[in-house]
Amino acid sequence: MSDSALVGILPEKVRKDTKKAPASESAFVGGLPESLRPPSLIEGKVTPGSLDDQVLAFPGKRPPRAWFIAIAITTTLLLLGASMFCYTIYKGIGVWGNTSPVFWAFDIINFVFWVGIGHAGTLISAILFMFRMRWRNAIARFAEAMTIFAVICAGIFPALHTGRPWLDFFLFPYPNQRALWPNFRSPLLWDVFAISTYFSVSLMFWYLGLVPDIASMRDRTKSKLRKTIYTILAVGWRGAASHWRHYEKAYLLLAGLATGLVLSVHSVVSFDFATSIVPAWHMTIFPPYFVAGAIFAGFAMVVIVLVVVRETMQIKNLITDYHLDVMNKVILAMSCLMGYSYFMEGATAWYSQNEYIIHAFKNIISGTYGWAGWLTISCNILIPQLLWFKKCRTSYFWMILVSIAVTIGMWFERFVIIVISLHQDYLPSSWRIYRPTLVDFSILLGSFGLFFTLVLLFARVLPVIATSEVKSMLPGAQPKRGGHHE
Amino acid sequence: MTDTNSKSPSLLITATVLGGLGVLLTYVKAGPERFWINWIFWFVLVFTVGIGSLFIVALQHLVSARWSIPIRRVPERLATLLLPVTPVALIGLAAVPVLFPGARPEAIHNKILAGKAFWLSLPFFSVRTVLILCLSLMALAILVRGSMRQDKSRDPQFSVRAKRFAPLFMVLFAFIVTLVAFDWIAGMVPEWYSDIFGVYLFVGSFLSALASTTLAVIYLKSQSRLTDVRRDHLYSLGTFTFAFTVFWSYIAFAQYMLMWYANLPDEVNWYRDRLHGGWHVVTVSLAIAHFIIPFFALSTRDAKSNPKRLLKVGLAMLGAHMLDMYWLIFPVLGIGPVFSWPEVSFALMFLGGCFLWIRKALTWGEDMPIGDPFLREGLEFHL
Repeated sequence: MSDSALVGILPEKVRKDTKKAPASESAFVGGLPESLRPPSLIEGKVTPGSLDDQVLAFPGKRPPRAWFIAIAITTTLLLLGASMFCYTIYKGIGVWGNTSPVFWAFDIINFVFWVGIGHAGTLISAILFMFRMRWRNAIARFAEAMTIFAVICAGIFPALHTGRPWLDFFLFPYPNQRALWPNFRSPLLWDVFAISTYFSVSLMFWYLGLVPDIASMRDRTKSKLRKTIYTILAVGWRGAASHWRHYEKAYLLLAGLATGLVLSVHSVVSFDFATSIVPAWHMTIFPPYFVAGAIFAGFAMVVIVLVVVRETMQIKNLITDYHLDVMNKVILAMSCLMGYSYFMEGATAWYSQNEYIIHAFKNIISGTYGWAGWLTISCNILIPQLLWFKKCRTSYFWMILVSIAVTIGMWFERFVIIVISLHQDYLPSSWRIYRPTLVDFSILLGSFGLFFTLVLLFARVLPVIATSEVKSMLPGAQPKRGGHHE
Repeated sequence: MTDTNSKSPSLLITATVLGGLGVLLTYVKAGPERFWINWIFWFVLVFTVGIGSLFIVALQHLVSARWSIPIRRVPERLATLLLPVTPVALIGLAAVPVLFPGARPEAIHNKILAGKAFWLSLPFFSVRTVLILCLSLMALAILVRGSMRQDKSRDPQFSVRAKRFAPLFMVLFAFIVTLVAFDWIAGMVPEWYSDIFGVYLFVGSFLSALASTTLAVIYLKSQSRLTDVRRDHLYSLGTFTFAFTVFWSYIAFAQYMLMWYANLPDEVNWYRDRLHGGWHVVTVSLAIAHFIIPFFALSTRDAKSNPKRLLKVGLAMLGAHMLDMYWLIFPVLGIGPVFSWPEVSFALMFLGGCFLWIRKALTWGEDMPIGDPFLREGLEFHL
């Protein structure tokens, strides 16, 4: 049957059916219940011109005092971390708390933590784009930037964890005189490929989206230096129809590539653990569970940063209460998935009737590190349940509280997975308690310093909102009817 | 599924009755094991399509999707398969002492099974099954009966209630599908465990329901019903099928790869049973049918909205889901892959019954949820 035959002429019965449908949803709005009303993605009167003035002008202005205070704090942390980073290279990783049998500790915890934070950006920019979720348009740029900064933070740790970072190029497989070849069966090597692919695709995706906005800034700026820099970065963008055609095609392709990456990157990270035969590491649910956890932690971080950004940069009309509401719903959904995974892990441990697995899981909720297990469960599963209430999803106090809890909880989740599972191996005589050192803590703080320094610099020099994507939602921008997502 | 639906039901009734006779003969001639394995296969198959359809409906309410409103009645009607499958499940409880080693008295002597004997025992197994059936029927009543009533009442309050119930349904759905996976499938190999197994069955369930929905939409369009459903709507269905085909492969690969890599005796038996004794052919076919064929058939943009292509892929997808369930359930018998007159009889009886039911179900309510306040917006949806 051909498609034209399918569309065909409307038979009488169906024509009657569709006539019976409400003439338009506006006919209902008077009587339409509050919760069904289409959300407002842009508040107040916004025109393409006013949007440019609002978003693109910001990088030219002198930043507020708070910005200087914030960057002073974050660079201090960054310097602390950098100095301890250098100290580690100078003295060797013996300055960390890692001992036998806890050979992996803060280094890998921080690595997994930061890779996870990056996932929100990719999910928002790629998967939500595929799902035609238009609320993503206003927040995609910022979230993508956070992805890149988070992956930069993540990359530091395995590089240092190798112990001799000057030999890290050994990780890359290329024909060499050393006659050394990495082990392709090792998930640690898969990580090298997964993370570097992830970083390159995210960077390209982010930069591609930035090009039209950089071109607008090039045209607006008065400063000569800025004009030169923006001109180079805008790669000759003039906004011609052919430019847009290529842009749209490239954007869709990169979104498709990045969609796979959302799932693959953290799955590969989870393989680092799950391919082993360490009890509580070898769990088949690890790949999707790590992905859910990554999106969870990433969204929490995006909420924390966006709340600050929309307040200080006066873009509350573009990042509305609705945006925060939906993001909190995503956090809640991910929290439920995490709850499912935790439950399945615990239940399967019992179901397996394998004494080693049962022992490993008992260690999580009792024993020396029992507090860490309970902290993880409380922060990741119990506290986010507050988001079932609309009041909590729209109040700064509650959403920040939940997001901070999630950030702490997700860091401790990796602590639980790594340290608790390792500190008691198959040989009881070698069991040992792990204690992190000041150097460990300093490098962790330093990574937060690096992340937030990059975020602050980004907000200072580049447009934080993709203006062309928001313009596509302004009235009259769409051939039929703009506004809400389909 | 519905494209083989003939104009007159007499053929279907004949097939069902003939199949029924073969089914009875199976019990007598081929033995209870062969009978019950087929019975469980058909229960799981039909149940996953039914509950997956309900998941599609609830998902639309959850995310306030508009594009899918014109086709929502189709999965709503397919979800009513949960009604006839309920007695099938209750009768299937009689299979537990036959095919579930954990429910037999000698399980006490097995160290692993003794530790979870209560969980595997027939009484607790039955309680769980009755519970998931009740929960499924309750969700069906809330989402589907309410929606059909809205056709007449035009009450937007139903949309509010459905939107509120949808997140709760997701929790129930996770519970239901996980229990079906662990009880009805993995329960027959009680020493084996894999905590991703619930997710695996979920994807299969969602995909089979998507395929059934696509096929039913195309069938209805060929009958000049649902004419306002356009390529744009079909495209979205095709895209979902494509995306979740990849997701299925991801989950299936994750489970296989991790078990292969670790090579632990607790786990590898599952795959050993499915890679030897003739089963390797089924395993490889499954990878081809469930991933390679739909992946390449739906790769291009045009293929995702082409009704002819979607028809073929939908049929192939349902076939792949059947093969998947066969691959999960039949190796329990301990003989090679069997397909003979008992399987044909069961297929005749259950397929015939399902088509008869769907034939009837396709007349319930209007073809589109005309009481939905946003139907117009869904009809105007364009890519």
